Amino acid sequence: MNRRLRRRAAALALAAVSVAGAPVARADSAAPPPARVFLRLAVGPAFMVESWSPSTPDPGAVSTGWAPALEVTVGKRVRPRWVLAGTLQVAGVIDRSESFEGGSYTLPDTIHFLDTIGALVDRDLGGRYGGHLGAALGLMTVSELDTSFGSFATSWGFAASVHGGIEPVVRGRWRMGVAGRLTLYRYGSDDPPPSATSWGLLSSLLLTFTRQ
Amino acid sequence: MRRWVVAALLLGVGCGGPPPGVLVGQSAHFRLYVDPALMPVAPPFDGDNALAALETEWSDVQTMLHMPDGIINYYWLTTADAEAACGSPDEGACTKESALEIDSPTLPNPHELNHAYLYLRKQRKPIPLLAEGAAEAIACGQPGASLADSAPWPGLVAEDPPSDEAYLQGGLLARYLIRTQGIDAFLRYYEQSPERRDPALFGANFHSFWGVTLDEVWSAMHIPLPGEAVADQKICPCSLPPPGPGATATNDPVRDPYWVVSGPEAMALVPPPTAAQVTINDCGGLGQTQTGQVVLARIDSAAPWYAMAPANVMTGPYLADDCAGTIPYTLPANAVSPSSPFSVFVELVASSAASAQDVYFQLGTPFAGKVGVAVGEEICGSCGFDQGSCQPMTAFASVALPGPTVYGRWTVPGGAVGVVTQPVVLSPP
Repeated sequence: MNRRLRRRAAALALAAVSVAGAPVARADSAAPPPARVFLRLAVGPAFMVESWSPSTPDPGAVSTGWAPALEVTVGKRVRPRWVLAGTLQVAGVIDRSESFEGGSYTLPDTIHFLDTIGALVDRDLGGRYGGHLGAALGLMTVSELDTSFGSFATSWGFAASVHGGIEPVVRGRWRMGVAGRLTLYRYGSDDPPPSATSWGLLSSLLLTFTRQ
Repeated sequence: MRRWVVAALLLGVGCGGPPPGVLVGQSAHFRLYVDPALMPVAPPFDGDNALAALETEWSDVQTMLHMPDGIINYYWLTTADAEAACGSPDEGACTKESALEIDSPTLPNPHELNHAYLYLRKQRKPIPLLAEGAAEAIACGQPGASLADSAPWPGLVAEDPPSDEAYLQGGLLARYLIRTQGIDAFLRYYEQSPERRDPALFGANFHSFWGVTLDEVWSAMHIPLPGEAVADQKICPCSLPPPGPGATATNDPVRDPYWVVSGPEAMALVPPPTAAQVTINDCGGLGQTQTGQVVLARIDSAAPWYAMAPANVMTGPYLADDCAGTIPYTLPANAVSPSSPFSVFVELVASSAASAQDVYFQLGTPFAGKVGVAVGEEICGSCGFDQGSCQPMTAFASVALPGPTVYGRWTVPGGAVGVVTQPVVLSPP
């Protein structure tokens, strides 16, 4: 790269930083005081890894798959930097793949729903990019829908998650950012026999929209 | 049944409509619609006979599945209309279970009827491998699968839509379980089985229910036992009333789609003029089918066999324990002709016992010709066996017919599994 090109690249980079940073700086300076009501919508891809272990000596299995994830969180600011909220997190793993006895089997035309309703706490770390961290605990329903022949089965369990992200202010009370979430969950099933326990990890990368 | 949900959804949003059938009648368990393109219906299913054939099928299978009463909407369609109704050119026929509707180009269609019967028993959705397997389990006169062909079951559990291999292997699994564990145990298993296409769950549930692993059963069901065929057949209920003593030739595929060959009397089974030979099948579907232009059979009723229509059946002591008590089966005068090179195969079929036994037969042979005599057989011109020239054969030979009636003695070997057969070949001089 010659000197002329290097200068152009540096100028473009500076321009990009200024364009991205300028509204944030302006918004920060004009940001209204936080509202008591907190609303966050989040959407993004998620990846599931889930083990299934029957209560019998039969071999278990590990399932993996991608899912679209959606989250709605509604709560209130209980302290200047603390939010307490209720949250509904929905993910549907499409055509999961099951590893069983050395083989891998894609289950076409299936959706493995992982739905959690629970309580969430979120800590605003402040700063220019609106960093935040939090955790949630809730009840989970795990449902398997076979879109080909219409069967639907649901199991119940528990889920715990941690999340963190950045959310710069974009306009008024609205922030937009990205967040990562790691959800650990467990559920059991006994119909049809044998009874079995499943542990899973759902990793999500979310685009967040928050009003506060 | 594959993709019927898609078809139902298409119908629901107005992309299709009811199949093009005209309601032609209703019976105790069926409402029959016939495609206008198939009308007028030709014999033997003309008039009320199509409904009668469906009711015959119901009454037969009901002895195994014990389904409750219900009305099944049967659409008898052209192949093209059946494919359109089923929503896919891959679908020759289908069952829309929630509507209890069958769309089929054949009547009766045992596979689709089994789907409907099982849904009448319990409204659930076992995975396709098992659902299609159960539908493939019961039918009369239909081939099953080669026992030697296998495929790993976990992949078949996950499949959707099920492949032809899933139909074959699922059918073999269902028939193996019915044969070894009984139909009632199989139905209990079927009705608690997973509705998720999950190999690990399916395997664990199988083990939990039966106490043996699916791997073990999968291996066992692919190994023919001594005396069994290398390919099985579907299981025939064989519950239709047997022909009464002294019954004579009938040929009614509607009310007598098959004849059970069992009981104290022997049978002569002969194909009608339109069929070249008659075949008898093991009701359990494991014995090797036996075929001949004439079949003389005496079979233990504990392990019955059957002959599919079209077949003409005559009951009587065509095979008997003593020569004098045997009645002759008389072949047509033109069965063997000097101008024809063709032979006539008369198949003798008898259940084996613990020890060897002699059975006698007589054949009316109003023509000149030769008879092939195998080791263990003795052919005579009268009941005077073991006298003069009437001696047991020590090697196969083709000898001149001893007269207008052939008297034969066949020593059925003891200790064999299932049935034992012996061909008698009548050939031109």
